[in-house]
Amino acid sequence: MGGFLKFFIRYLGARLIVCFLVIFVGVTITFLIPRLIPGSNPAEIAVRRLQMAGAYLPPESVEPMREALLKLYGLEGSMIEQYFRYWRELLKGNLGPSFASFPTPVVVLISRSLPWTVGLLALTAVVSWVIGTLLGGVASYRGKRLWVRVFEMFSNAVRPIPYYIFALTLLIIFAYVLRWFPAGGAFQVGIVPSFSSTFVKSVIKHGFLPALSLIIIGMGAWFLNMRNLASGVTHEDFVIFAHQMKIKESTILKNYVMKTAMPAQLTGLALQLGTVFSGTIITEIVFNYPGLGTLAFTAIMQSDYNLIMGITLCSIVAVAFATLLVDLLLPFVDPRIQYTGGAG
Amino acid sequence: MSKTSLDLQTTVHVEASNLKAYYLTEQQGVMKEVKAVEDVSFDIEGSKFLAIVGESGCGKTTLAKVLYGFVNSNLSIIGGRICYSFGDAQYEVSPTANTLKDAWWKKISYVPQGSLSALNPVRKLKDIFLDLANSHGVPFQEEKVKNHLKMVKLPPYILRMYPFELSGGMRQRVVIALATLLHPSVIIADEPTSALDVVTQRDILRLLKSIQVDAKSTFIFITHDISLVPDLADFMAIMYGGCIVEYGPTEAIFSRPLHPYTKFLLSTVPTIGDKTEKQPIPGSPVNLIDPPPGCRFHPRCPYGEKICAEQRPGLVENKANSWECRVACWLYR
Ligand SMILES: Nc1ncnc2c1ncn2[C@@H]1O[C@H](COP(=O)(O)OP(=O)(O)OP(=O)(O)O)[C@@H](O)[C@H]1O
Ligand SMILES: [Mg+2]
Repeated sequence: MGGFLKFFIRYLGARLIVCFLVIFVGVTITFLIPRLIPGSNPAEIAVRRLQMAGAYLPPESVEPMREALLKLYGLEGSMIEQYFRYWRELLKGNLGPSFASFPTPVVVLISRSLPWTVGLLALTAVVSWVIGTLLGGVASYRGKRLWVRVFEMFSNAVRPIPYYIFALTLLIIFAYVLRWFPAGGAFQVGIVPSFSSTFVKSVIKHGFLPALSLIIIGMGAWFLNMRNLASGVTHEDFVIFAHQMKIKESTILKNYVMKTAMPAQLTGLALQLGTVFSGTIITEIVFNYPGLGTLAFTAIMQSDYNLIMGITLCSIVAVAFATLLVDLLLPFVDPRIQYTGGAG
Repeated sequence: MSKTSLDLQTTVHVEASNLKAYYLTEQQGVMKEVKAVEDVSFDIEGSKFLAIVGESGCGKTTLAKVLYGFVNSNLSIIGGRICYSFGDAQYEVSPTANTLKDAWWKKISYVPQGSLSALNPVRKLKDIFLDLANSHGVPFQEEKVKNHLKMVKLPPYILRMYPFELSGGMRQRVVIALATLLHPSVIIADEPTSALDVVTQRDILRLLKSIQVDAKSTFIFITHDISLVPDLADFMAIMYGGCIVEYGPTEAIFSRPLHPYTKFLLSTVPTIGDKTEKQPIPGSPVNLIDPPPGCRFHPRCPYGEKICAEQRPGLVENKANSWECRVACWLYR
């Protein structure tokens, strides 16, 4: 066991280094991109906005004003200086102020939105994965049952529909026509967030439609994915041999077919959890849900560098850790992959 | 083992009569039949070792699947039947019935051709044995399984391992251990040694022979290599193009082959000191989708006569020697 621990720590160390490298590169790229796009400097934009509003700005006062704004926004100095300052502040947990909602710190804005997004997306991702994987596994095995064919037809019918159309349809039917669910927000305006039953009920009611749209789409995709993976496995020699040995059908399904298809499916889930933030923009806009997606959308519209960078940072960290999670999980579900590196 | 159970095992009777099994495949949009098993009959009684020999693609694996009753929508039995009687119970496989499935693994087991990939890659061997025991309602006793592994010359610690951690020969032994765990009376082994080196191959063949002798079971052993047969099999059947062309005791066929194809096969066996050049069989193997009319071997046969191209010869007894040999050839009528 001591040997195992040693290998595990070495393996973990190597993966962590890769993980941090990914974060480092990601942060650097997101630092550069908004600064390299011409005409997106927020100080310039603010000055222009003032000028467009008709205010007369004497040319000699524009320059000091711009500089004051740059300083305020943390954008003064050369790119290199900004870069080092950015890292220094980042390690202190400070992402700077939001430009658009100045002077609210970015961290505050993000921490206000993050729980909604994580709650909605992590929950729906896991629920749709579990249902889709189980049904897909069983379907690969019992392909001719009626419910399998109905479900398959349904999944295939839903798949080509663009997500926003599907989401809008749900919204129109259930929020505007039937009026069963509210059309936006995360909870009833006026209720103070707490663990009271009114609040929880309100949250569930508001989250139901976005969650439903995500679960239906996600479940169909996972179902088809698992069914294809698993029906590939049902033709493998060892499954045929298990039938010839007359191993119980339920054992074959569980331990021979689904277990073999699981590594690929689980990798998919972990990677999807990593994309939680980028996958959420459309959902949150359609359902007017106050999560990170809505925040990102407004940040982009307002050239709010610091906020864009903060959200992107969350996303990068999430993807990097999801990948790490896959690397750590795979040896558990697939014994052919081992912490020692090679097989055997 | 009590005496009665030995008695039961000695009364095993396998009888195949006019078995016909075809694959249905699609070729360029047209459904075609692959006539892979045609009119196969044989009869073995008691504890015997039968070898079925033939070149690649002649339908050996198909015959093995049919004998095991492992048919599906793709491979179906068109005619004839095979009966197993285990003294106390009868099972049959025919176009209309397949009761043999009830006997699978307890009375008859199967070692598939692709044995090296027959083990679940994500399951420890102990769990595979456990699955097998649970599925057949027998208690799993680790000590018994370890003793059983010892019998096939495997160390007990392999139970803790995954299949990919074993060598090819070890995996083959595991499959043999699985196939013999419940002491079936009939074992069908399809090319169990073809993917192994010569030394391992010899060890495994010896093992199979000793299992057959000790357990007094009936073995149906399938191979493309006729040189393996002499020390192993009591009886042999030569298969060509889906048909059995010659059937008889091994010694008889080796000392006096009758069918021209058998003669060719035997002439290819290398012997020490033999300097003559080996002649390949002229012509090409049969296309089982569109086999030649009459005897399926006639296009390659040096003795072909007119009748050979018109009618297929049946497998009939030949009293050319004191042994009971059967041959399907017009030369011996
Ligand atoms: N699943 C299948 N569907 C259609 N045709 C098949 C199928 N399996 C085998 N065949 C055909 O049936 C014929 C006999 O195949 P079979 O596997 O029985 O040969 P074999 O004698 O076992 O050969 P080998 O020594 O190479 O294992 C071949 O012509 C093959 O192309
Ligand atoms: Mg074969």
